[in-house]
Amino acid sequence: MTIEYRNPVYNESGTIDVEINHPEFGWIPFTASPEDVEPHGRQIFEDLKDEAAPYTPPEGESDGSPN
Amino acid sequence: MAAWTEILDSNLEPNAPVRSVDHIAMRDNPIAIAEGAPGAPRIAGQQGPAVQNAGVFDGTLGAEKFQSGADERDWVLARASEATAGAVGTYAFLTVPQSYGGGPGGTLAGSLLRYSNVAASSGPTPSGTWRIMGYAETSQTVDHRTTLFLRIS
Repeated sequence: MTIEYRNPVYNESGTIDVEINHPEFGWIPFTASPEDVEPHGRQIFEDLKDEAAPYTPPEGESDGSPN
Repeated sequence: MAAWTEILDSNLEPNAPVRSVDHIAMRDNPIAIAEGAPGAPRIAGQQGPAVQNAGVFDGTLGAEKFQSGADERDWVLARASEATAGAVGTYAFLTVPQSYGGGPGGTLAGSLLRYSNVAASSGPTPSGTWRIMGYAETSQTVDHRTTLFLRIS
Protein backbone atom coordinates (compact mmCIF):
# COMPACT_ATOMS: atom_id res chain seq x y z
CA MET A 1 0.00 0.00 0.00
CA THR A 2 1.34 3.43 -0.93
CA ILE A 3 1.15 6.08 1.78
CA GLU A 4 0.73 9.68 0.64
CA TYR A 5 2.85 12.11 2.67
CA ARG A 6 3.99 15.72 2.81
CA ASN A 7 6.39 18.02 4.66
CA PRO A 8 8.90 15.51 6.08
CA VAL A 9 11.37 17.13 8.46
CA TYR A 10 13.81 15.82 11.04
CA ASN A 11 13.10 16.67 14.67
CA GLU A 12 15.47 17.07 17.61
CA SER A 13 15.22 13.35 18.44
CA GLY A 14 16.57 12.35 15.04
CA THR A 15 13.27 10.90 13.89
CA ILE A 16 11.19 12.38 11.08
CA ASP A 17 7.98 14.36 11.52
CA VAL A 18 5.72 14.11 8.49
CA GLU A 19 2.07 14.42 7.56
CA ILE A 20 0.53 11.25 6.15
CA ASN A 21 -2.80 10.78 4.40
CA HIS A 22 -4.38 8.08 6.52
CA PRO A 23 -7.13 6.05 4.79
CA GLU A 24 -9.49 6.60 7.75
CA PHE A 25 -8.31 9.79 9.44
CA GLY A 26 -7.12 11.90 6.51
CA TRP A 27 -4.01 14.05 6.91
CA ILE A 28 -2.49 13.48 10.35
CA PRO A 29 0.89 14.23 11.90
CA PHE A 30 3.19 11.23 12.16
CA THR A 31 6.61 10.57 13.61
CA ALA A 32 8.61 8.03 11.63
CA SER A 33 11.35 6.25 13.52
CA PRO A 34 13.80 3.50 12.58
CA GLU A 35 13.03 1.97 15.98
CA ASP A 36 9.25 1.97 15.64
CA VAL A 37 7.61 -1.27 16.75
CA GLU A 38 5.33 -0.91 13.72
CA PRO A 39 6.83 -1.95 10.37
CA HIS A 40 5.10 0.88 8.49
CA GLY A 41 6.76 3.44 10.76
CA ARG A 42 10.20 2.01 10.04
CA GLN A 43 9.39 1.88 6.33
CA ILE A 44 8.29 5.52 6.21
CA PHE A 45 11.52 6.54 7.94
CA GLU A 46 13.54 4.52 5.44
CA ASP A 47 11.66 6.06 2.53
CA LEU A 48 12.09 9.64 3.76
CA LYS A 49 15.50 9.64 5.45
CA ASP A 50 17.24 11.16 2.43
CA GLU A 51 14.42 13.51 1.57
CA ALA A 52 13.43 15.03 4.92
CA ALA A 53 14.43 18.61 5.64
CA PRO A 54 17.08 19.06 8.34
CA TYR A 55 16.14 19.83 11.94
CA THR A 56 15.92 23.51 12.79
CA PRO A 57 16.10 24.36 16.53
CA PRO A 58 13.20 26.59 17.64
CA GLU A 59 13.93 30.21 18.38
CA GLY A 60 13.14 31.81 21.75
CA GLU A 61 13.21 30.53 25.29
CA SER A 62 11.07 27.44 24.97
CA ASP A 63 12.37 24.50 22.96
CA GLY A 64 8.89 22.96 22.78
CA SER A 65 9.82 19.88 24.77
CA PRO A 66 7.50 18.69 27.54
CA ASN A 67 9.96 19.36 30.36
CA MET B 1 -21.84 -38.74 -3.25
CA ALA B 2 -21.74 -38.51 -7.02
CA ALA B 3 -18.50 -39.65 -8.63
CA TRP B 4 -16.43 -37.44 -10.93
CA THR B 5 -15.98 -38.91 -14.42
CA GLU B 6 -13.54 -37.65 -17.02
CA ILE B 7 -15.23 -37.40 -20.43
CA LEU B 8 -12.80 -37.78 -23.29
CA ASP B 9 -13.08 -35.42 -26.26
CA SER B 10 -13.16 -38.44 -28.53
CA ASN B 11 -16.41 -39.55 -26.91
CA LEU B 12 -18.07 -36.27 -27.90
CA GLU B 13 -16.63 -35.64 -31.33
CA PRO B 14 -18.93 -35.46 -34.39
CA ASN B 15 -19.98 -38.87 -35.60
CA ALA B 16 -19.05 -40.49 -32.27
CA PRO B 17 -21.84 -42.72 -31.02
CA VAL B 18 -24.14 -41.23 -28.41
CA ARG B 19 -23.48 -43.11 -25.21
CA SER B 20 -25.67 -43.18 -22.17
CA VAL B 21 -22.64 -43.34 -19.86
CA ASP B 22 -21.36 -39.93 -21.08
CA HIS B 23 -24.72 -38.30 -20.52
CA ILE B 24 -24.86 -39.74 -17.02
CA ALA B 25 -21.37 -38.32 -16.39
CA MET B 26 -22.46 -34.90 -17.62
CA ARG B 27 -25.43 -35.09 -15.27
CA ASP B 28 -23.41 -36.23 -12.27
CA ASN B 29 -20.22 -34.18 -12.71
CA PRO B 30 -21.71 -30.85 -11.50
CA ILE B 31 -23.02 -32.70 -8.46
CA ALA B 32 -19.56 -34.20 -7.93
CA ILE B 33 -18.03 -30.70 -8.09
CA ALA B 34 -20.53 -29.37 -5.57
CA GLU B 35 -19.94 -32.30 -3.24
CA GLY B 36 -16.15 -32.14 -3.53
CA ALA B 37 -15.81 -35.64 -4.97
CA PRO B 38 -12.27 -37.00 -5.43
CA GLY B 39 -10.77 -35.84 -8.75
CA ALA B 40 -13.45 -33.22 -9.36
CA PRO B 41 -12.36 -29.61 -10.03
CA ARG B 42 -12.67 -27.34 -7.00
CA ILE B 43 -14.60 -24.10 -6.88
CA ALA B 44 -12.20 -21.16 -6.39
CA GLY B 45 -11.72 -20.46 -2.69
CA GLN B 46 -13.13 -23.85 -1.70
CA GLN B 47 -10.17 -26.18 -2.07
CA GLY B 48 -11.07 -28.19 1.00
CA PRO B 49 -14.23 -29.41 2.71
CA ALA B 50 -14.85 -25.88 4.03
CA VAL B 51 -14.77 -22.41 2.45
CA GLN B 52 -11.21 -21.07 2.40
CA ASN B 53 -10.12 -17.51 3.11
CA ALA B 54 -9.77 -16.76 -0.61
CA GLY B 55 -13.43 -17.68 -1.09
CA VAL B 56 -14.63 -14.83 1.12
CA PHE B 57 -14.86 -11.48 -0.63
CA ASP B 58 -13.10 -8.58 1.07
CA GLY B 59 -15.38 -6.54 3.29
CA THR B 60 -18.29 -8.99 3.18
CA LEU B 61 -18.00 -10.72 6.53
CA GLY B 62 -20.27 -8.97 9.01
CA ALA B 63 -20.26 -9.18 12.80
CA GLU B 64 -23.37 -11.39 12.67
CA LYS B 65 -21.13 -14.18 11.40
CA PHE B 66 -19.08 -14.23 14.60
CA GLN B 67 -20.05 -15.93 17.80
CA SER B 68 -20.01 -14.00 21.06
CA GLY B 69 -19.15 -16.65 23.61
CA ALA B 70 -16.35 -16.86 26.12
CA ASP B 71 -14.02 -18.55 23.63
CA GLU B 72 -14.35 -15.67 21.19
CA ARG B 73 -13.90 -13.09 23.96
CA ASP B 74 -10.76 -14.86 25.16
CA TRP B 75 -9.46 -15.04 21.59
CA VAL B 76 -9.91 -11.30 21.07
CA LEU B 77 -8.30 -10.45 24.41
CA ALA B 78 -5.39 -12.78 23.70
CA ARG B 79 -4.78 -11.09 20.34
CA ALA B 80 -4.93 -7.64 21.95
CA SER B 81 -2.54 -8.69 24.71
CA GLU B 82 0.06 -9.66 22.13
CA ALA B 83 0.51 -6.03 21.11
CA THR B 84 3.89 -4.49 21.88
CA ALA B 85 4.07 -1.27 23.89
CA GLY B 86 3.84 1.57 21.39
CA ALA B 87 1.97 -0.46 18.75
CA VAL B 88 -1.01 0.97 16.89
CA GLY B 89 -4.14 0.42 18.99
CA THR B 90 -2.32 0.53 22.33
CA TYR B 91 -2.63 3.15 25.05
CA ALA B 92 0.17 5.08 26.72
CA PHE B 93 0.51 7.68 29.44
CA LEU B 94 2.21 10.63 27.76
CA THR B 95 3.20 14.22 28.43
CA VAL B 96 2.62 16.97 25.88
CA PRO B 97 4.58 20.23 25.46
CA GLN B 98 3.33 23.40 27.15
CA SER B 99 1.74 24.79 24.01
CA TYR B 100 0.03 21.63 22.81
CA GLY B 101 -2.69 20.95 25.37
CA GLY B 102 -6.09 19.76 24.29
CA GLY B 103 -9.14 17.68 25.00
CA PRO B 104 -10.12 14.22 23.84
CA GLY B 105 -9.80 13.55 20.15
CA GLY B 106 -6.83 15.76 19.37
CA THR B 107 -3.99 14.14 17.46
CA LEU B 108 -0.28 14.74 17.91
CA ALA B 109 2.88 13.40 16.33
CA GLY B 110 4.88 11.15 18.61
CA SER B 111 7.90 13.43 18.58
CA LEU B 112 5.96 16.01 20.62
CA LEU B 113 5.23 13.50 23.37
CA ARG B 114 7.13 11.74 26.12
CA TYR B 115 6.30 8.51 27.95
CA SER B 116 5.48 9.55 31.47
CA ASN B 117 4.18 8.54 34.90
CA VAL B 118 1.67 10.06 37.31
CA ALA B 119 4.40 12.29 38.70
CA ALA B 120 5.02 13.44 35.12
CA SER B 121 8.61 12.24 34.99
CA SER B 122 9.31 12.00 31.30
CA GLY B 123 10.82 9.11 29.44
CA PRO B 124 11.54 8.43 25.77
CA THR B 125 9.60 9.68 22.75
CA PRO B 126 7.08 7.43 20.98
CA SER B 127 6.71 6.98 17.21
CA GLY B 128 3.61 7.42 15.08
CA THR B 129 0.40 9.39 15.67
CA TRP B 130 -1.39 9.59 19.02
CA ARG B 131 -4.92 10.66 19.95
CA ILE B 132 -5.64 12.36 23.25
CA MET B 133 -8.04 10.16 25.22
CA GLY B 134 -8.01 12.24 28.41
CA TYR B 135 -7.32 15.94 28.85
CA ALA B 136 -4.02 17.73 28.47
CA GLU B 137 -4.18 21.22 29.92
CA THR B 138 -2.14 24.01 28.36
CA SER B 139 -0.09 24.68 31.46
CA GLN B 140 3.41 25.27 32.74
CA THR B 141 2.76 22.50 35.27
CA VAL B 142 3.93 19.32 33.66
CA ASP B 143 1.56 16.95 35.47
CA HIS B 144 -1.35 19.00 34.06
CA ARG B 145 -0.09 18.08 30.62
CA THR B 146 0.17 14.34 31.18
CA THR B 147 -2.72 12.13 30.17
CA LEU B 148 -3.83 8.99 28.36
CA PHE B 149 -3.22 8.58 24.63
CA LEU B 150 -4.18 6.02 21.99
CA ARG B 151 -1.86 5.33 19.08
CA ILE B 152 -3.94 5.57 15.89
CA SER B 153 -1.26 5.28 13.19
